[in-house]
Amino acid sequence: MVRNILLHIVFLLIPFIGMLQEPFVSLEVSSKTIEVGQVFSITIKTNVDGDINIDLPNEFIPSGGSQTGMSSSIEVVDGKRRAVNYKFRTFAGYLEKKGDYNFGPATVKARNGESFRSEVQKIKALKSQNMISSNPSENMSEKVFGLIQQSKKEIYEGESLVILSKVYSQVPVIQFEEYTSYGFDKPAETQAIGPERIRTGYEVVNGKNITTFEISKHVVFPEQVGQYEIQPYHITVLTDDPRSFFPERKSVLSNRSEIKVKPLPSGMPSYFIDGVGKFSLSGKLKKTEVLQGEVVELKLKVSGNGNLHNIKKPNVKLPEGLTFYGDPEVQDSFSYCNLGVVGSKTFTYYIQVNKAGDIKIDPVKAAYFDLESETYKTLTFNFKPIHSLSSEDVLLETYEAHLGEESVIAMQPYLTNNNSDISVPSSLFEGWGGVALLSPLMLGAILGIVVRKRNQKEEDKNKLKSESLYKTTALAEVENLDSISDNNEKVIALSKTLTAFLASHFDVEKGTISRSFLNSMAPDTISEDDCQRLISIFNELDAMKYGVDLAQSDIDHLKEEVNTVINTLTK
Amino acid sequence: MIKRLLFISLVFIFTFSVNASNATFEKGVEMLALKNYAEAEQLFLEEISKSPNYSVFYNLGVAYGEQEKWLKARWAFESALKYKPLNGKAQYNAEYSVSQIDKRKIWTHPYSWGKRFVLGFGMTPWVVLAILSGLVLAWVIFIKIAYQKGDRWLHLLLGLFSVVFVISFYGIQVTNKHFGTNQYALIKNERPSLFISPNGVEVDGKITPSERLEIDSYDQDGKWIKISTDDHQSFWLKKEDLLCY
Repeated sequence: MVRNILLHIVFLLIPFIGMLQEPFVSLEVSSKTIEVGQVFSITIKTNVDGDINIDLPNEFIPSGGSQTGMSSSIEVVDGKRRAVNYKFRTFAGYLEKKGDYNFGPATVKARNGESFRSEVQKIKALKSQNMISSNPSENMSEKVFGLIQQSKKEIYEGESLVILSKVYSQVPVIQFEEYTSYGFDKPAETQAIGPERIRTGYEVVNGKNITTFEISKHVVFPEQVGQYEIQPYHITVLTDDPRSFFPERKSVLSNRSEIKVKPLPSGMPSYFIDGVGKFSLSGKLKKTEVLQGEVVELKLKVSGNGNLHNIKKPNVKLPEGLTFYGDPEVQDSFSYCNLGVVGSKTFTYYIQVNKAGDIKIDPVKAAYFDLESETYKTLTFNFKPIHSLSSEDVLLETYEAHLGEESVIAMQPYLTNNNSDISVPSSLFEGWGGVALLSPLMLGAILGIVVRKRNQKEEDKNKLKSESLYKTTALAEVENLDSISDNNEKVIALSKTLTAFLASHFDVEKGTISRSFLNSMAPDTISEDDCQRLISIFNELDAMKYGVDLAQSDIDHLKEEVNTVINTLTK
Repeated sequence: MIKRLLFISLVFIFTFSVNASNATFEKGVEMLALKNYAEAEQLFLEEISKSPNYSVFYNLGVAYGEQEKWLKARWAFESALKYKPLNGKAQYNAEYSVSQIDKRKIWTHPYSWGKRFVLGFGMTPWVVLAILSGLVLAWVIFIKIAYQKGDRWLHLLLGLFSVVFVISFYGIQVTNKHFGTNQYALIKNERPSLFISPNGVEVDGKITPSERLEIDSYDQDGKWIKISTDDHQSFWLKKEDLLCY
């Protein structure tokens, strides 16, 4: 019940939260370069409450169901982190033909009629790789067997190939466990390109329908020339054979395989950039009108597919008067697929123009090995001439422009009055002069201390004087008790005298004197003993006030006690 | 009687000296009016040796400028700015002088805006402020210590006048230092001799006439001056090769 209420609150709040955020719709794909038949996922994210629609190409075939839900993420906007809440829909599918396809835009129509659109995502579908492997029909004696499939048996140095681990099963499979991938006996760079989950399919082998499972797929770049051995992979398969009572766990070891890596043919140009595949070259000089000494940016972009990630920077030959300013920056924008690495690599050079005039830079040449024609191909980029203005010409132009603004023609005339009010000051305030300036401060402080000490002394003196006065008064009053005939009156007078003395001593009103007050004064102002003594005196006095037949000896005893206390407190 | 006589004599001497000073200046002005610039130059130089001030340096600059001695004119105008850094006429003429030396050079004020503000007041306001704020502070400190009062207004006064005191003290120090030392120099000749140390090895180097040099230090005798150029090079030069201000 509580959970339902909470969920309702959450669902009600989401549009509200959505309203507080800027509305957005985004379209994401799991991979922009895929093979025909390769499954990929599409995700639509939005914080707008409404119907979601998306334009999909006809060649797209959905596979599996779609998934919807809500999520949140943290994004950084203008340097500040911001939480973004959204709902999403994810679905998967594959393309049945090769080509370039546009997915989207995804549109969401809000309840108020307003529509929001996402960007369009472009996906390139490549032809499925023909994979070579040992003949499955030779393994049909096994219920489950594994094979290594590869796109090529022979490649050139720098070229890539695709390796797939595939399991064939003649019985139903429940699950796969403990997969150990294939390996190589020589160094090789590998990158996974397969789907994130195991892909099932069917093949007909020896007239029988066999279920196949693609476990992993990699694009591999061997790093040496020679013969490579691909070591087998291992996987454990849990099968449900109808002929046995219980599921069986089977350990599957695949076949071994080989790749031959051939060296590149002779005739490699000197401007070879170690590229093997298919590439193009483009470039741009940020500006061609520069000032002498200025640094200008040159961008060279190599695009294509192959071993793009390993290519060298194209060699730029600068004429006299131009120098490189620092090392070139490299920016990568590529992804891995069955063609190797697809995308672009941009090299940014910084060139300082040190001389004036018209400067021509030699065209940039970059060579790569084209796999289709199996020859070296040359790419060229031609520069526009740079026109450099000398710094003197610039300064002169600047100064002439500056002069033009203010029209400085002649000097201002001479002065006829001798304005000598601002003259050289004396060093009055240096050294002792500075001390003199600070002396009022010191004087103020010293005087203040002196006056304070004097006031303090005065205060202490007055305090002593007043103490002596009230002590004498109290003692005299105690002595004069004998002049009172009535004993009860004597007790009352004694109590009053003691109260008056204590009020003066503690500098409080007479009404404040009480047992609790006396307890609060101990032990800081009076000792515990004195406090208890005073309380017992008051107790006796109170007892006597309301008693009968008071004896003179009791009163005398109390008089003594009071005298003692007065003398003790005023010591 | 004696005191009265002494007072009158002092007044007479003071008046006479002021008038004598004014006489040289006025004669210099007369020479400028008659376009006898060389004579005016001598008179103003004589006046500077006795009583340097803004007007004398300014008119000396005009005398130099009329004789097309632009380096010296610049020096004179920038020396005038030392006394009145905010003065527009002196700034204008200094810029004009630089334009005559090198068309491409853009003149900049030798003192920062902060310093111009401090110097623009002159010494007297800073001294008065320092004394007044010092007295108020002294009184506040006295009240606080003597009577142990912690009133809010006392604290406000203490804070405010402390700030005023510190600023005015700083103003006095800056003004004193400004007039006590020479900060900049200009070369007299187009190709001065540059040295690595006083009486040391002569070195190759180039200083353009339009360049304002910063004075770093003097040698013991004061005959050699170490300067820094715009591009942070340091050289020693003989004092007679420089115009300092």
